[in-house]
Amino acid sequence: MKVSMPMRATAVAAALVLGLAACGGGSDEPEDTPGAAEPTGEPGGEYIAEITEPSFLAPTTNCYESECSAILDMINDPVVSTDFESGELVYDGLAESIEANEDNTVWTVTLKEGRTFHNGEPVDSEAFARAWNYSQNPKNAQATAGFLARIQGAGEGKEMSGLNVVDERTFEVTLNGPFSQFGQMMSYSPAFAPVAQECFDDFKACNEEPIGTGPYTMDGAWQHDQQIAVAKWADYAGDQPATADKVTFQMFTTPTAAFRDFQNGGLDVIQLAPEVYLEAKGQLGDEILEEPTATLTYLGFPLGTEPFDEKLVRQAISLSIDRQLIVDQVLNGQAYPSTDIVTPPIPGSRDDACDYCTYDPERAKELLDEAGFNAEGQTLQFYFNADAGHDQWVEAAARQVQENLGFDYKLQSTEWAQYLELLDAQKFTGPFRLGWSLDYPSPENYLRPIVGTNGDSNYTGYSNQEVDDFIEQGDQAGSTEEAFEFYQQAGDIALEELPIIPMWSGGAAIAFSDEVGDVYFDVGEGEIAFKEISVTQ
Amino acid sequence: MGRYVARRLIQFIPVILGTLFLLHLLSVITIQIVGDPVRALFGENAPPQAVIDQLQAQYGLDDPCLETTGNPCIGMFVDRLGQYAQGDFGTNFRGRPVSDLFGERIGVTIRMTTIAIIFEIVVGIMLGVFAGLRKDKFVDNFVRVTTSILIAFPVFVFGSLALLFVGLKFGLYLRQSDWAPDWLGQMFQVGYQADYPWLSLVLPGVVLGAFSLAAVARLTRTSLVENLRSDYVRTARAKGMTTSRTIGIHTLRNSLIPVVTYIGIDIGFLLGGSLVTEGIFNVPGIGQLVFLAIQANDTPVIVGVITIITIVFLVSNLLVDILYAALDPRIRYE
Repeated sequence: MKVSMPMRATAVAAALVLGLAACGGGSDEPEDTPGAAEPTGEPGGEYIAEITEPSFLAPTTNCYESECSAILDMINDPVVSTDFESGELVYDGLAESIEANEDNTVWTVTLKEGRTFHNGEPVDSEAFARAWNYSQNPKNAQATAGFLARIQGAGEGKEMSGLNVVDERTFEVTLNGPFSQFGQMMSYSPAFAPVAQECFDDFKACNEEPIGTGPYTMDGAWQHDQQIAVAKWADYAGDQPATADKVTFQMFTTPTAAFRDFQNGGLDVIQLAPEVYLEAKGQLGDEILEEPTATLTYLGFPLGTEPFDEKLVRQAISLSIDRQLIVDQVLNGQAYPSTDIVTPPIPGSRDDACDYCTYDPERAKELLDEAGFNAEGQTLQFYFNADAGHDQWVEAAARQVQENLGFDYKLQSTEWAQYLELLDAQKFTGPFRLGWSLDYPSPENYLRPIVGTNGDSNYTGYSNQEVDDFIEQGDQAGSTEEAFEFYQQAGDIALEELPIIPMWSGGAAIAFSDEVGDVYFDVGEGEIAFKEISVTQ
Repeated sequence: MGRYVARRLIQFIPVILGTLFLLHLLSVITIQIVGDPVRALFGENAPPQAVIDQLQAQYGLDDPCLETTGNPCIGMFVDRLGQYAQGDFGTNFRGRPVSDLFGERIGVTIRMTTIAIIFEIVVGIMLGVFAGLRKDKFVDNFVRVTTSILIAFPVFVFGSLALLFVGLKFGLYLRQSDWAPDWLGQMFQVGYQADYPWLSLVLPGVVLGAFSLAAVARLTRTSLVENLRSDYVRTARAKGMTTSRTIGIHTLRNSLIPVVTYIGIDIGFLLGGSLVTEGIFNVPGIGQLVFLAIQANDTPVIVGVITIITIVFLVSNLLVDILYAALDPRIRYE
């Protein structure tokens, strides 16, 4: 199961991550928060990094996972970026400005002057219109089409009525309703990237050797399941960093094979999978860079089933689970206990939002008694998807619930495709495991899909007018700060009612050779910040 | 001989049709029970239904018979046979034709399998002959014990250990040393290196062949021991023929019939074993393709590749049967 749809993040984000990692206790990076904005290493050189085979490189709108977006981020400039500290937009991409009208329904995007694709075509409004109109058309079945669903007329035909080219450098986007986070949303670059006409004419060829707008170009065609190489583009006129001259991404069948190659000196940068984490940790110790990722793992409740329809029972279950213990004992410390539905380090996340995410078995018992519920002889059925490393922690959590509240438990693991069908049909009769990876760095991107009425990932059947209203108010808010306040209020209600109980957010572990430096983890991307890695020469 | 071949060819048709149908049935029932693989591509974030419908149509998974568990989907099978006949084995979930994927990778797998077969034939027969000639002596017992150990180890354990201790620990020492020539270090690699298309496949090839090596050695030994006791050998010896001629020409040739049969079947098993070996050693061959497709739940690739492998397996069995007839006249005159 790998569904992360990331955002690219700024170097500021990397700096923020370092700060957070300090409390996680894993980082050995220098604490130069402002300095992290500029790569300290000398430009030049080349290095080899590990990656999993991407799904698609063109059309970019078919890229909905972290591997392809890692590559596309090297060869494409984003439209805009989001500052992870303030949540505000940073214009380090193709857009010079992005402005909304008063009620956040009409957005005007102005492009920077003189930017071109790698093949010399201009990056103009037409290039955006071409790409977006292609993506929204259901006939083309693009994986990120959902991102454009807020635009007027999306999904109805060949062209959206809401996309209006004003002149070469300006276009207007009319949304179905107010949405203050549209700018942040556009920082998920694959879904909004412009497409060159040459690429548009032959997506098949373009998939093998994509034509982008970013600081790197393809260095030869994509060698499937083997490698993708990118090299610095000499004519690059943008603001994205590009330190090494050439980067080769190699693919491996198993994480162990990749790690063996790293040990063999073949790889410079590798993200450590759980399979090799302990071995690597034993050998490399503190040289491993460990960072929190923006992925949330949670247990959802089928709200239509007894006893989960009772708020107090849900709260009691949440309080009876010792998240820290599970993280330490079962997950090898490679995760961070949840304190909010929104994960760190997303702007607007909080470290004290969830009152019921602490471990307090006595209070849990009291709440269960208060609900007038007797757990003796009752069995909870826990669901999770098979072969994805969830067996142990789900059982650990189930056992804690049993120990502290008296429920018996049963575990039910299911194949992923079948699991999703059960989810879509809401057929679960007990707590079920799910994860969430962000699309764009906004609290809205966690709350609306998971706890909003009919959200894309709302499988509990939870529907609360107040939550929806607060999210709506956030969408209409005039400033980012104001929007976040509304979203947090929506979060507070959800965290009181607990249709889902947040468990933890994930962690990434990265090992790198002596040959490279300036290795950071790009949270929004869910990937290493490859553009900033420098090579020791 | 001609009639035997013709009869064998006619038998081949129901076998291949039956096998393809079983494969088809397995894939269909998997989808019916486990669920829609297209939906699974997206995970917890459900895409618009229009997108799912479009993709299902694209991958030929929109047949309504997939909704009812137990329906054998005969219509789909007939369509599939038609596509196979045209050399179309479907596309993977990333839009690339399975036959292209297969073509890109078959070379590596053939090289690795060749190394494995040469290894098992040369070393296996040699060990078998040594053990057979010195029955119940030290050599015999030594071969028995080592081959038992080889058979007892699952491929993935043996492969992982070989990768760690031979490929990494020993190989890295060679590659970093001043005295060892480059080719020697490449023979003990942790994975496939495109610059050394044969040498870097030696270790995975040996791992792949190790299991069959044990079988070949034991088969050779047993059948050699048996034949050494037969009348014609005694006669040959009595006539004063040299030992090397008695064994090398007469006994060994007769003793190799079961071994040849085994190697024929083994080609198919090697393709199956390459799934694990190529996974461990990161060899970009057919096995790795299936390995990755299983991980990604990419049904079209799994079905397409297994179909091709099945055909290869059946054809190689056919060839062995014909070869068998050539080796042993009694068979073709039955």
